[in-house]
Amino acid sequence: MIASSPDPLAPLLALDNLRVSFAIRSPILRRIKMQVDAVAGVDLAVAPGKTMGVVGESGCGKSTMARAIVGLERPTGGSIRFAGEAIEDADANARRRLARDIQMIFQDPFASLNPRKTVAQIIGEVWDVHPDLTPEHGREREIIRLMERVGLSPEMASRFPHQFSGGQRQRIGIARAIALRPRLIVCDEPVSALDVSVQAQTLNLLAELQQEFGLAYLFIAHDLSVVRHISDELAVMYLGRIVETGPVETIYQQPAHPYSIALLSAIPVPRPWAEERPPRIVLEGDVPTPLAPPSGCRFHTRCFMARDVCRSESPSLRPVAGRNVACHFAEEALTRSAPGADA
Amino acid sequence: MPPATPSERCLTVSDLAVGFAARGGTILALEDISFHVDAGETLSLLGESGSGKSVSAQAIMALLPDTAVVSSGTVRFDGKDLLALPRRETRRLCGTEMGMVFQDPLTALNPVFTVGDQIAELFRVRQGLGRRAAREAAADVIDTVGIPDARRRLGNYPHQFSGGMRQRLVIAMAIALKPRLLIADEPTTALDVTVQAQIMDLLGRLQREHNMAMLLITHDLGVVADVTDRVAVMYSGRIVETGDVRRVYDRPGHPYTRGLLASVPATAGGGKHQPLATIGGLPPNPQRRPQGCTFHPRCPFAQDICRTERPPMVDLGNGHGATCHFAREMVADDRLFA
Repeated sequence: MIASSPDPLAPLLALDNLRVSFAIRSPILRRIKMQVDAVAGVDLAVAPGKTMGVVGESGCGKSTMARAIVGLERPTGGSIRFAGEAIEDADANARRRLARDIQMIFQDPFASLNPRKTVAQIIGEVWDVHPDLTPEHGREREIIRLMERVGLSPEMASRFPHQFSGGQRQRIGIARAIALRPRLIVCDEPVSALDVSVQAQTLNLLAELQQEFGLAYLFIAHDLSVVRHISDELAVMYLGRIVETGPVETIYQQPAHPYSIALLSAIPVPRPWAEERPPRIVLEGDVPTPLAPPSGCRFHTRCFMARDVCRSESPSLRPVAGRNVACHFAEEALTRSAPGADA
Repeated sequence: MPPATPSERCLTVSDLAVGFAARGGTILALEDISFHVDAGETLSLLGESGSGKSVSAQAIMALLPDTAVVSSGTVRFDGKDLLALPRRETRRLCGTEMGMVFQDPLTALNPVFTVGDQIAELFRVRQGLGRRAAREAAADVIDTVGIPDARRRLGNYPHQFSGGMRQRLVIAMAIALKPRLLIADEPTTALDVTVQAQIMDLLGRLQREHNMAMLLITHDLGVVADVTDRVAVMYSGRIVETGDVRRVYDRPGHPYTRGLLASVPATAGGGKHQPLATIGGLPPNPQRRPQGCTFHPRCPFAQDICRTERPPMVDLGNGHGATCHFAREMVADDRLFA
């Protein structure tokens, strides 16, 4: 369905019109009061060994999408295909096989590690679940190898998570994620809780591991400069939908969706005087609640280019200038974001 | 009150040191902290977790926990030494002459009172306004911070507002009594990028309108460049570099500042899969700060002198200074953004 990636390789992960809805029940009778579409029809493809960055603000559905891919949420529509196989059709066995291939790194290195287990137990746990994958040279040696690989001293294997700094904890999470040699790692805000200097170390580690193991990443973050640094492809999400997707540099250099334009112009960069910056567009208001998404284009309530058609007709993704955009006026938006243009 | 002249000094912190009582002695959280903020000006305290930037703000606002001891220094505000005043007096200044905006707007607001009651209370207690007048004043200030339909929303509770709107409410409370100094501790860290842009715009506008001095505490190098005139970079409880943002960012005089700038993807330049520069190691444990320069174990330029002698603040001209033995060489080296 999606044609954003010119990569000749078949996608490793393909989302087709994925929907994840939550039922809001009345507190007394548990009757379903209404339905929230957290992910409202998303098409996305991740190529093997590549990084797909996903950006968007709170409530845009990026984390729900991630959780659906790793099986923590049940999709209510559409399909998730991994290496050609539909995840929703998978039986228990196939599901376990998928769990080896798809791992996740979480945002909060404090909440995602069991405080009562040692590092060795946390990493070793993966072979309790998948005993057939226990390496021939034994768990202990593999744990040491993994710890060394992610830059932790193996002497710390018997320590507990609280004895580590945030950056070290994130390394434990990474060691656990790569232990089963997955093909895809879903990274949900993996560096946003870390200090700048530690963030750079972690990003470098993720890039090295990608090279070494041929990993594909689905990299979710709200820090747009981090995403630019690590990604090959980019998807910009707004209120449960993708509004623009394509090669990362194509979009960063000249975004074609008004939301992408505003988002990119709002990033505070350390040395704004040293680069050519588009004029900042400050959007009005907040992201509307997904409980009652706006009619037509979901962005029209905050869009600086909105017209009548935007209020009634929902734009679908279409190819414009080397990427896919869901905007009725993408061509016009493109002229506004052209370098040197005065938006 | 006539508008203050731009050069009027609002806050001056000199040689401030703060320690925390712990087993086996005192841990110094802050040492040798000196800076000033003028009316109409913004100074950013930039630092990573544990660098002491929030403790600095707490010391100024008399919000330090009971375990903290101010072991030396003065904090002059409006001619008064805040540290010498009785705590009650400092507390009275907070909220009238000094406003504070915290990182998490939800904990800064009381969930069981309507926002109208909370903001009106300020005017009733501090300015002695009557019920009706206080409510009017509350509506005006909510309107000032850009919350639509202010009058009707006075009756709402904090949870009925979005994150960005809550931060506007906190800002409304901080500026309600037209303070001369606003301290903002990570005011946009919990917010989305587009909302962050709104809040920074709002703070900038309010500052210009009231000629407020602003002390911004942040870890975000980009936010600093966006709104700040001057920056003080903190590392392990000390200020390691200070000066005009542009000077400091273009020609950092301290290897730590240099390392921070190089490790941010936005400034790092280079393309995908180009490793980012990193600062090796971790900040020191404040109980065991290294001898000499506290940064030397992580510093790629460290020499023998750095291990033994604590560097003084080297004057680099035009108010730019860095505590590095080799600050002049650092500034002269232009390979950073080559």
